[in-house]
Amino acid sequence: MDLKLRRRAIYTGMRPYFDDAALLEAIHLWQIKYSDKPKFAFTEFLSECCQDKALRAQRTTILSSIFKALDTPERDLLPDPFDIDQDQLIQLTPAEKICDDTTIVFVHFLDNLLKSLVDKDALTVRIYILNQFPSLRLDELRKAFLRDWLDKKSNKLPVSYELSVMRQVVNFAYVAICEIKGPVKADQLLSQAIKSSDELAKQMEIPLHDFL
Amino acid sequence: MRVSKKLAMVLCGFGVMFPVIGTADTLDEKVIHSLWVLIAGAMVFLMQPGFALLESGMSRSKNAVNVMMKNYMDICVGSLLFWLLGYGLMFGNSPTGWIGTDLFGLAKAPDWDFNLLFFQIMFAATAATIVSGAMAERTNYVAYLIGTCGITAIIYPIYGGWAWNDHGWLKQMGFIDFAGSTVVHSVGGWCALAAIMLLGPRLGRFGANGEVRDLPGHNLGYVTIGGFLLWFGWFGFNGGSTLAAGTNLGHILLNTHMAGAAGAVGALFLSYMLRKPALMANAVNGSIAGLVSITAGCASMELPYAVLTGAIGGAISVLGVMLLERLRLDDVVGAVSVHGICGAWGTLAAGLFLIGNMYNPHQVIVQLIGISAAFLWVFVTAFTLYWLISKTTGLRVSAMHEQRGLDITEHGEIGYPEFSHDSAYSSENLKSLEKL
Repeated sequence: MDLKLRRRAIYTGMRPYFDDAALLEAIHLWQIKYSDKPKFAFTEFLSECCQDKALRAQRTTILSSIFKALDTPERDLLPDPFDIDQDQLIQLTPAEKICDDTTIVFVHFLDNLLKSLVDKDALTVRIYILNQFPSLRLDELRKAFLRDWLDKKSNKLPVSYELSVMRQVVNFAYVAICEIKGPVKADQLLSQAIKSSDELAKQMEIPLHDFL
Repeated sequence: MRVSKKLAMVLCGFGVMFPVIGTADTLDEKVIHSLWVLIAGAMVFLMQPGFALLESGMSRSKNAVNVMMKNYMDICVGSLLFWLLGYGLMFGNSPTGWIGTDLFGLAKAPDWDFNLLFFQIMFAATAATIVSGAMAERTNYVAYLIGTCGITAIIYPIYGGWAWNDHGWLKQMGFIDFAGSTVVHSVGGWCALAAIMLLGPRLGRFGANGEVRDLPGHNLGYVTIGGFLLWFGWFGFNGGSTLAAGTNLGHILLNTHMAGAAGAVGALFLSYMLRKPALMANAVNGSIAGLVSITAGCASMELPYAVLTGAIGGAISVLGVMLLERLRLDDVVGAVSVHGICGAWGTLAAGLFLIGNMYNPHQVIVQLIGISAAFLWVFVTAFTLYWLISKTTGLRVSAMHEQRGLDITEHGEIGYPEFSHDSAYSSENLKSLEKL
């Protein structure tokens, strides 16, 4: 069963129990942390994403529902929640389909920040950022592109983002690094990421401090 | 009280500031007492830069200006509020023994009252500024100043009135707190406790698995000089509390000094016993803990007991910090431990080691009542005050403020503009940063 089909099955199995935002975050979590693990890891996955009391009480039911969905024929599964909405994509003007220089530098900068961490910590930071998505003032399409980039499904962003959004994402990353490595290390890594992105930023005449 | 001629001669050295004084022969006792109280008040003022250096040194460089600004404005805001409201609540006529009812915004009064007001203003500002270090690096600046207003106008003077007003109910019971182990230091410490409980720890201070992360301060030199300044100021703090230039000053100042010394030794000895390194911050905090501890009993304790009180205070300061860390409470400078807990210990010690009346159970009970009353009154009112602030102006800054540092977000300045090469933020980029 390929990743997309499994994702649809899990989405279908969990749909009756979660609201939209919580369900999307849970699917992110599964994809980033559990998609390469065997089936029994679903128990751990559900204990991680069922934090409130009501959901905790229903964990066994949700688990059964997921297993049932995994055996459901493809035609009966809900659509993939992570598919980029093609209709929305078509509606974008050619100008909107361009990734501006600021966004390119942002990707480079955040990539450098994440690369300065070991893989396990970088993964935790990515998950943290994904979990903060509901607070981002961003349309669903842009959220989907950013999600794909954080999931490492793409290595660049195809559209431009507002500075305030990019600044917020950097701050999410900073908070996550503070939690993992401590604030002293977080400040150092932030400073290093600026230095290592400085050359590209100067070439493109983008002030890096706009992201801070 | 007899005034020694030598002391009068020494005080004449300050005669430049007080032209009314000609020679020692023309001095009368009132002038000398006034002079001593005013000089002592000025020495207590020097504790403010002491706190500023100590607290700033223990904070990260990106918050250095913010900490200094809080200390600077504490004395300004605190002085005005205490003059307008606090002094009356504390020392005004108090028929019930609970609250003063006059002397608000004192404008016309006998000269001696102004001496007292000047001296007491310094004490009020000290109580308020203790809080700033505990709350450092994550507090909204305006919210902090509102808190200072509440402390200097209401919380501190009302408790102070119970203990120091001639009609105060604690004073009537025989409560001993000569210069304010509880009245000043525990009050500040318990306010700090309430504040940090509501504030929460700094980002990343405690790891997800319960590990405690040290966030080293940026300048241990500041911490040391701050400690020395505080120590010096304490001679005015305790010595001035006699409110008279008497022959017992030597005993009081010696008790004060020796307790400070013993506090540092006690803190480092305990660190050694616990196999912890001999940290500069622990030594400085230990000496301050010793000074806090002796403040209540500096005039009523024999020298060996003052040393013992200070040494135990120093050890308590180390244990208190460990306790708070275990409770996951983030006190940047250890104010709750050094001022709150050691203040309570010192007040108890003043009852235990009272000259000529050692270990008197009645006195000990009175001391315990005073300590408990302070905790209950101060903690409850401070918690309510900071809770109200958190629900209105907001007490804690956002994660973005913590990322940038409060020097930039609260003041638009960088503490060390020429030394920020390794920092994410530099002075040349300051103006281009978007306002939060």
